[in-house]
Amino acid sequence: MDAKVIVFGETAIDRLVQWLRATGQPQDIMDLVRQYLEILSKAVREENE
Amino acid sequence: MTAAPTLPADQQRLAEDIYRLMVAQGAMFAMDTPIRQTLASLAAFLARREGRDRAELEAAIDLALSADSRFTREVVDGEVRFVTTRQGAYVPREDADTHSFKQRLHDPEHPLPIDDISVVVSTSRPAITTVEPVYISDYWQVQLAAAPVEPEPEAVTAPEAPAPVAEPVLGEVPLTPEAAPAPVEAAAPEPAPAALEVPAPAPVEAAAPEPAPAALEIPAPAPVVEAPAPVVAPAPRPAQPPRSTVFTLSDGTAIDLRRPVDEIMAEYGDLLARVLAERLERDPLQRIVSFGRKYYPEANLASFGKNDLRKIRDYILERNEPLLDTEIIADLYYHNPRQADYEGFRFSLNYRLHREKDFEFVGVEGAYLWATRGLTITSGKRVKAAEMGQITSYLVEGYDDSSELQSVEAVRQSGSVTRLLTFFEWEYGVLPLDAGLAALLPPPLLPDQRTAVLRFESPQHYTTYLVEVRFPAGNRGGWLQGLEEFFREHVAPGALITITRTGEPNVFHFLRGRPRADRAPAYLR
Repeated sequence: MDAKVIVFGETAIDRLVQWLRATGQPQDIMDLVRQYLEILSKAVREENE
Repeated sequence: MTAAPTLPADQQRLAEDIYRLMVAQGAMFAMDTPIRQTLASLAAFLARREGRDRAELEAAIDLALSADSRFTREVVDGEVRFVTTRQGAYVPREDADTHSFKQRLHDPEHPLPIDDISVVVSTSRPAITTVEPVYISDYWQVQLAAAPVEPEPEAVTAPEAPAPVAEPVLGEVPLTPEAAPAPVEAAAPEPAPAALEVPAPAPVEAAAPEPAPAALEIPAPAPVVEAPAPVVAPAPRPAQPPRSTVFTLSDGTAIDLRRPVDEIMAEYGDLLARVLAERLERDPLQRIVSFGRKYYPEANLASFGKNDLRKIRDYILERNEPLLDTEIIADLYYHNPRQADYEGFRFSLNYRLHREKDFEFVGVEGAYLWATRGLTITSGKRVKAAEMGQITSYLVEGYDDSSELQSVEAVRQSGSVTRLLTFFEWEYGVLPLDAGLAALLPPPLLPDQRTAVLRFESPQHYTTYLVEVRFPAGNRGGWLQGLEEFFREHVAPGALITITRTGEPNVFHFLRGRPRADRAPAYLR
């Protein structure tokens, strides 16, 4: 994924929902941001590799 | 309507009579619907009515109606019929549709030239996954057939190898390598010598012992030489520009995703949290919902019906004080914190109650308290909320001098506030939510939260009071109320009071200090 097309809060948000559902627990906003950054970083890295 | 023609008077009368008869017969027909009668029927009817000879009448009717333009004469199976309509002469309807919207849609007036039918028919997948036939106008089919066929550019393919099997006609095979056709050598130089070996004298002699001309002999087992498959090197992929790893927020902040996540969080954590919270709030699908700082998938929420809400409301009214969410869950739903879905259930309860008008969140971070409509939290008197808001408006207007006695930093570090109790505060049981108290007390958890309920305990008197914190809003200041009874029983105006944090986020200790004469109001001296 080209990071230029990322809209923070919209791009790959479905993966964040999947992660949140998998945890089964309410998560703090900072944990949510951290996980979302992990998802975006992974998507960008995969594309570049 | 067609006018009656000019005929002899008796024929004209007869034709008019018959016309009226037939129009009366088809009175309910459409104006242009044909009305038919056989000549025999007409003659039989008129002969019976007028008492005339039938054969004579038949001839007269035939003559009269044939001359009348309102009638059309037909002969079907040897039987004569006359046709007319209510509007006169019968004109067959033309259903030819030569200028329909359908035709104009599919047959454009100035069509563009087409090379491929795919430019006419969309091959994209329809939104509804039903297999429906694609109607292609005959016009385009004809256009496609008439379009000149352009040869497709050939891809990089292996060059045609020369026939690996030697030609049986010896006379056409060059006997020397120099005489070989140039294209064959250029295309595949390796098989060329093999082909030249075909007419070698040895196999020819073995195949034909007679002294026949060797040139006419065909070598029986023609040596088959496999042309090696030419290796086509894959076309090098065009070099792609390097992908960007930097994304930009709406305020222009650029963040490089190659950096470690911890580093990004340390620098932009609060900003990203705010942006993400706003985006999730605006998500039309509401896939992730929030309560306070907690976020949870909407699909995982537990459902609470009207009966549940009524039960919770009745329970809060019965206890006559705001209740913690954990209390409600334990007392009404018997959920155990050790259950795997406990936190999800707790979030669902808080989220649902927050959306209900009958419930008001009066908790703080770490202690989610719920009040309901009709519940009196504190028994304040005489001072209305609007008036208190105006009285304490000096706090938001920049006239707060509470930090002169004790700085905000000192309050945060020590976890306690010491201040003098004025007569007004003592009289009405209120305390202004100045900078010192604001630094000590927890902030509102929800953006639209107006009130929080705290529990003030007095260890010196073993008493507990519920104190309502009214947060500032707009140009109105905040205050604490509900301390009237405590002040009246245990503290005098001008007393030095100390409020201290405890281990519970919503419980504070209220200590009474000695009144200081030098700081006491003038009216107490």
